Amino acid sequence: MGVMSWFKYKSPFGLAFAFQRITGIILLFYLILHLCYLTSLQSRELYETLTSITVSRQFIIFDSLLILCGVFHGVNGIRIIIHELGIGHELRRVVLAVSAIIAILGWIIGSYILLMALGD
Amino acid sequence: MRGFEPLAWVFQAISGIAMVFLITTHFLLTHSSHDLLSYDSVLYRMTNMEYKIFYALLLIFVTFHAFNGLRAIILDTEGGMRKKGAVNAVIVTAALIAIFYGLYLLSKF
Repeated sequence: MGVMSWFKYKSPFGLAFAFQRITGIILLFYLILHLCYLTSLQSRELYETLTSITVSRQFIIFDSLLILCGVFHGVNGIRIIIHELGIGHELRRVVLAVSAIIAILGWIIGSYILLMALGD
Repeated sequence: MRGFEPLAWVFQAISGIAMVFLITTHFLLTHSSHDLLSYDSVLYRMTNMEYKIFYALLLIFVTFHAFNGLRAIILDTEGGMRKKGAVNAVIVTAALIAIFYGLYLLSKF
């Protein structure tokens, strides 16, 4: 099974499966980046140089997309756990729709918090 | 290994649920104000024992979840399944390096 086979099911559930994997891989890279941040704390100059680039208005689009990845991965992951436990299987479509709404709301709220913090 | 995969799935689910709370807390602790990401603020958190425990837990849960997820993706390929032992060994080693390196960095403050 290759990466392209993740997209062989065109249903919303198939797409949710593919995006769960894609966002998971993106978040793994972000974890490694976080370890780099933690390493940079050994030097004030290095840390401040790094944050002056990444904590900025120019960078907020990437932060916002990262929030979307994180929120989608978390909410969709909980949806998967619920169904794997045999709960609400007959309501799969409704649960998927509710998950999508929660993910979008979480994305908007998270991005708003980031944007407001930049204005401080 | 027969009983390992279901156990890996259970821990994937448990760590995933824990992370929803841990990462939301981390996001609010670090991103609700610009000052919270200043060097002095971060250093204050890193030298505080409660925060250290919180970040150590976050590091362990996130690293396990991320690398176990990557393992599942690789084992879902034909090549990955053929070399399951090697994939498991490499992923476990990488995850342990990430956890111990992160804990080492936390211990330096």
